[in-house]
Amino acid sequence: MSRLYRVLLLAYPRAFRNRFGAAMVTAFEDDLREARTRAGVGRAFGLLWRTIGDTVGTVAEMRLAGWRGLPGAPISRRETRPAWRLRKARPSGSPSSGGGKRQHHLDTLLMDLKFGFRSLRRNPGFATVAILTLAIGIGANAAVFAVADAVLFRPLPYEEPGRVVILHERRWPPSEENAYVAPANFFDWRERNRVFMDMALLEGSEANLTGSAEPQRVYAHRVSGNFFGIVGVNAMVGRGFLPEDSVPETAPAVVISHALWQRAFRGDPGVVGRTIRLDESPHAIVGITPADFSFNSVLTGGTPDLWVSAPVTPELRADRRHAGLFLGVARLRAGVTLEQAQAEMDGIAAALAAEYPEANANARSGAHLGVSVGSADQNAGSLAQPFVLFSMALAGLVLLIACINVANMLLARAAARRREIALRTALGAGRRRMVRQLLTESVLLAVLGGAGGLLLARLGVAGLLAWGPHPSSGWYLGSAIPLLSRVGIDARGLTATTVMCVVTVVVFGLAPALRAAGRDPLRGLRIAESSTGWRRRFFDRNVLVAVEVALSLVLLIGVGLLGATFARLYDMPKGFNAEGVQVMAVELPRARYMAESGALGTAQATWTVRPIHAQRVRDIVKRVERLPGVDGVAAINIVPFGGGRTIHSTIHSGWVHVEGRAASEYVFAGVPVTQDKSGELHYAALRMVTPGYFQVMDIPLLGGRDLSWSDDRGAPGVVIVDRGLADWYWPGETALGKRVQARIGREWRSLEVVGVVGTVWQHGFYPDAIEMEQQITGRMYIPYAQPASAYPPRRVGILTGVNVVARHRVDEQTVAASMMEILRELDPEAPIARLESMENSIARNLADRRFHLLVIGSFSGIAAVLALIGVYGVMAFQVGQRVHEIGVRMALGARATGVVRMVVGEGSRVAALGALMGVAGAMAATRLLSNWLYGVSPTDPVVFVGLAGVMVGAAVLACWLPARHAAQVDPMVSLRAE
Amino acid sequence: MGDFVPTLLRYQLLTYQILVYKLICDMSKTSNQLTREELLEYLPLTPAVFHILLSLSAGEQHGYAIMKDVAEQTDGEFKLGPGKLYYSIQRLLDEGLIEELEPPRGHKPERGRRTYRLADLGHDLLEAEARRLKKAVRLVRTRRLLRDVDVEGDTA
Repeated sequence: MSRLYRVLLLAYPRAFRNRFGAAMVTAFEDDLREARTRAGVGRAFGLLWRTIGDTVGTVAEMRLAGWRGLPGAPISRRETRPAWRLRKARPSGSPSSGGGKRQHHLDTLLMDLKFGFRSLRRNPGFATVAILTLAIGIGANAAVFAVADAVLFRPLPYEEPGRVVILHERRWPPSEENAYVAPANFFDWRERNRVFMDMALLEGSEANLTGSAEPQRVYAHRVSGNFFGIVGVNAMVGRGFLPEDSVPETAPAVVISHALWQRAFRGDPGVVGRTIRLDESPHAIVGITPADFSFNSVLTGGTPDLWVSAPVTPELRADRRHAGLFLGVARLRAGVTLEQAQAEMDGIAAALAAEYPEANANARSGAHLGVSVGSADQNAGSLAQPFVLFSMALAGLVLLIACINVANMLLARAAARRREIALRTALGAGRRRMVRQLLTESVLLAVLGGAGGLLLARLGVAGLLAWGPHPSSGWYLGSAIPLLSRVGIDARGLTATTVMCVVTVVVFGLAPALRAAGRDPLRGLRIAESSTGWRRRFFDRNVLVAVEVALSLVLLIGVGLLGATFARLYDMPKGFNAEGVQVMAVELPRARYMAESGALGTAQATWTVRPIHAQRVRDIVKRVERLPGVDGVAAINIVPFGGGRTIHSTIHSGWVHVEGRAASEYVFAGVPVTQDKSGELHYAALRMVTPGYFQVMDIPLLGGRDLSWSDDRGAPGVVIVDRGLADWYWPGETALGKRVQARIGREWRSLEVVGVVGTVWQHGFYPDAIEMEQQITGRMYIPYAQPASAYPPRRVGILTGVNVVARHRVDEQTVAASMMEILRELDPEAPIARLESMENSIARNLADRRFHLLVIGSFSGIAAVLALIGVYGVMAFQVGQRVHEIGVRMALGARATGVVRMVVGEGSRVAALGALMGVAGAMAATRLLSNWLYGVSPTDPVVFVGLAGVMVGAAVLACWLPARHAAQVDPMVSLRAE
Repeated sequence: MGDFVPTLLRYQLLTYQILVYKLICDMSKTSNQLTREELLEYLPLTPAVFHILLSLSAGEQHGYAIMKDVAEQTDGEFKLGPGKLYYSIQRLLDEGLIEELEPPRGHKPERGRRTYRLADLGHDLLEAEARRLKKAVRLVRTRRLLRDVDVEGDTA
């Protein structure tokens, strides 16, 4: 508190502060101590109020005294008499200087401020509720703005960021998706365009990093040597890349991110020049990026740990137009706009399509491959854009509801004060003067609300930074917020908050002020009007409250649907038992476990698993099995809910067809081969497992046998299918003993079905993962010891990833530590990507949804509470206004229950109207959410009717207090009151 | 020439008279202070100043004690915050109406706690204001506007 007071002191002139500051703080502290000992929090709160008022009033007085050339605080009342009053008495034609006019305004302003503050202080209940309401509304908006600003609006820390663009290939209609650029197209673009200064290539990849403290899996951007020059960022330590770094003969160089530098090298500046190993091959660190540097795009996803200089080899330039490999990053020439660049690239794309129709055009539709030129700025935040914009909309709604509430309160107050206003108008206060007086009060409310809002926003942002979904280093799934570390409330946030305050004042303050001052003063003074003539005017206030109820109900229904989805996913049977299972995800270094053949180092190379691979997996499993308290151990290449960094690594599907059937029954990933009657695609997922996997995971074996260690390279090929696949291929008959042809890697294999197991939910709960899950018809499990012999380089991760699952009875930490120790012994250079309980990885998979639920839930909760306060306020006011009428009714024989029914009835009519509008609004709005819903229809009747009922019920309760108050009206007292 | 010398003497005498009068005046008041007539120019006092002076009339006080005292004087109706209090104190010090006490010898001067007492001039001012108020109340009393106002010396 006393620190707060020190901040307030800053408002005083410096000389005064130097002379009396310490004494004032002491006086405040004494006051505070006394207030606390005497009567606790309430009084301390009153003290805070008084002190703010004291500061505002005194500082305003001081500044004005300074302007007026007065010696200081007035001693005599003669000194406090404003100059303008004297001047006003002069004949109207008398000359008056500009300074005098300003003084007049300042005097009036000061009086308005003092008066406004005093009138707020006289109604601490009203002032507190109004300011809190505004603080919540403004705070929510300021916090969301801070996020939106960091993620979407504020330019990235590059040199002239507007000129940095990302180039994608754009697929032909109807998909029009942005895709990776084929190498040959990239080089043609680079040579033919006249709009870019230079163009770099960028490719996302993962690698095992060794040579630092602990081997780890890192996310790397492979870029050409001109990348840092184009982006316009200098290394913080060392240098960026030079064009020479892309020459194939030189040893590859790396620039590491600030975060990796801190994490893996403990911020040691001597790391520049050191050699590290990425996937076993040596790389020299040449530089470290600044802390705030990041380069993201939709396709490559999250924040890279390091940048590797990619050699631009002749092979890369060779005529390969079919497969996209990387992104183009370019800098616009000075004066060239994004549109001009797009137009130029459209022309080049059309020319390339004409030259290479086979690769760059679709013969049937005549459409051809396009180029999309997008600014790097927009690309960085675009993954989180829908959620951030959605949150902004929600926060806007909350502010709107807050404004309606405060406007309602002001209207009610203005009505209650109408006699005061009429009196002052009758005594000669001009209409403009009255409007200004009332507006000043609104401004005061908004400023105080804004200050409170800023405080709330800071708390909110702190909470977000602590618990929000930070993008993990690597490719993210779902909706982690990129650039989250940039979020903070700065000058831009303050400006935005100020603008919000101004808008708020206009929204909630102007109408009541105009309304209150615009009326005929004599009518206000007439007493009879108060009891009946007001009913008409209640109408629009009731509509406002109904709108509030409707808006908050829309939000509540949205949250209800998301919550229902969350509950459904949380409780959904996943086909296995996660309890007591520990998962260790290991990346085996490919140089030792795989052999490369064919065109080495290119996309045409073929990777084959070495025998040591299966051996090492078996060693790990056998060793962990011997740990005390461990009941069973197995390994799988892609574990359910692994939420792997790359979505690619979670899809591992292949060609399969049943021997002896038509080829049209192929099931394949990504190519429409098999479609059912409704035209849906079907996929089969492929997994490699060790024996005992189904037992460890508690997946039921429905028929046949488990795999065994003897199903190795020498033995005939076997496969276990799940029920989904068995029912798809062999409906009504047993799958056991049937033979399928499967293409694994680049080779076809004939496999015999030896077992059928239950279906498992594999990919997690992100919207795209759910979509994929629904398209997967079934799963096939083959033994680790019978792996594919030929894999393309981009798919090798499927083989090098090993997830060891162990079911245990003892403490999780102990098991985890022992597992890690065993791996270190067997292979000290294999990084552990993840070591956690299965339950934990499921929870992590739901974390984004939980976060969304939390954010949207708090917004709609706030909105609902504000709306209920609105209902309460209007009913309470109405009862207050109608005391006379109620008194007459009761004097004439109305019973208390009748009065209660009347008030509650009126309130519930308003709430029901609001609920009706809310349901209609939600019908339209929840469609936007459909992507995030699962197992719940966007118009789920239970959620709609239930929440509408809850809202109306709560509104009826909110009417209860005023109703009871009305029923206790004493007819005699109420009649005397007039 | 005949009239010149006496006239000169008379003027010289007058000048001396004025000088002596001025000297006497200067001796009767310290520098930078106001005369009784000037004092009356300050009436009526603002509530803040009146209550601060009233509080100090009972003896020397420090800042917070004045705040508390003022609240008690008015049954909590008029409360001074630290800002208003010290803004007023600043002016009162500058006008010589109150003075700040030196901290007692041997005691470390405490930065935040300063003690003030009423200067003679402040005492006069308070007295003048009290007299004015008394007159006003008596006036009210004679017009029988308020029944329960009792002024010292009057009997109902």
